[in-house]
Amino acid sequence: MVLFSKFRPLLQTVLKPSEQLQTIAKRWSSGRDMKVMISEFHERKFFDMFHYYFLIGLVPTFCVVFYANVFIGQATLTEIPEGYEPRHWEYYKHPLRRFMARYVVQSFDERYEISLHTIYSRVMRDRMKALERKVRRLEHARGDAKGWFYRPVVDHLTELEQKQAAERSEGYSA
Amino acid sequence: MPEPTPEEYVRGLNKWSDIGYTTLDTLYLRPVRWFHRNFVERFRGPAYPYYHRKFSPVKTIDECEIEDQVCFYEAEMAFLRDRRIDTMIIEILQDRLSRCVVHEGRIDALDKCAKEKDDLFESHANWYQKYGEMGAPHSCIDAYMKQKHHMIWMRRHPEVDLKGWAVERESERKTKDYIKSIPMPMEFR
Repeated sequence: MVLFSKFRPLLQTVLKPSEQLQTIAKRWSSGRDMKVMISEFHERKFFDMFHYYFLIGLVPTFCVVFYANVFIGQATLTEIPEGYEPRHWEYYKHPLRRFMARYVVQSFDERYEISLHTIYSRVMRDRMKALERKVRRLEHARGDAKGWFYRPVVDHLTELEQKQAAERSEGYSA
Repeated sequence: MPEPTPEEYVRGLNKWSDIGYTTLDTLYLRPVRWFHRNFVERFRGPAYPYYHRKFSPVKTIDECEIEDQVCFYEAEMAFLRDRRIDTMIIEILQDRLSRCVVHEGRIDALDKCAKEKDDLFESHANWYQKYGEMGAPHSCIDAYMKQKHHMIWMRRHPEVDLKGWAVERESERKTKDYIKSIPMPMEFR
């Protein structure tokens, strides 16, 4: 905390900032003037952010893309050989696209099959529900069966009451 | 021709296009070609293949059973794929016509690009007849119904000739070939 006041003048000797705006003579002490400068905060912040995004963002991306295009190169179109089923990433040309298809993104065929499965399972579920609704409707209309229409609810108090009534009808013991 | 090659530039026809081409050449084409020859071709790894995706044939909408949603989905996807292919065919034919026009010039194109123009016109008409004017969105069932109604209309109006323009062009071409086949000196033709 004590030496911070010494840093700014050292910095100003090394990196000459743009010119001073004003010299204010105040009554702190003799011979020492306050140098009024334009704020360097915005400059510093801008360069900070630029270096951050450039070094951590652009440089690695550029290196990866350069390597993929120059050293690996794009694929050549060939006929599918007999009895060979190509893997799903082998349908793409650019090496980075192949990488994404292989490790990152869901395959085209997979997505298609998932859609088919979803449709199938929804249809089966809907059919089962429709069947249940139909059965309930018919049983309510005909009223000849007890199974689905009467909801099996266990009434413990009623059962207890019935048991106690049976005991009462048998007779109390001495 | 899936990937057409660019044509060679002819220097000496036009001063300004020569200057433009020379600047582009020195700024972009020459450095890129130098880099490609000296670095890329030396250090590139082995070549590896990629394949063209083949879709297995599925039932079309007219062969699907009633309430078979899975079949409907597959037929719809096949329909969309075929429509995309037809759209790409039209794009290629359009590209061919524009290249022909640029090559020949606006005035000579009237004589020399008739084939490309006819092909494009035919493909446009067929696309419109197959996929057009059904409303957005539409499904493969709408397209199937359109086909059905078109066949009914054709049966009810047998006098209407939908291929007349092609017949006319054919006869035009035949007369021109006949005239060309007659041996005559140059100044009379």
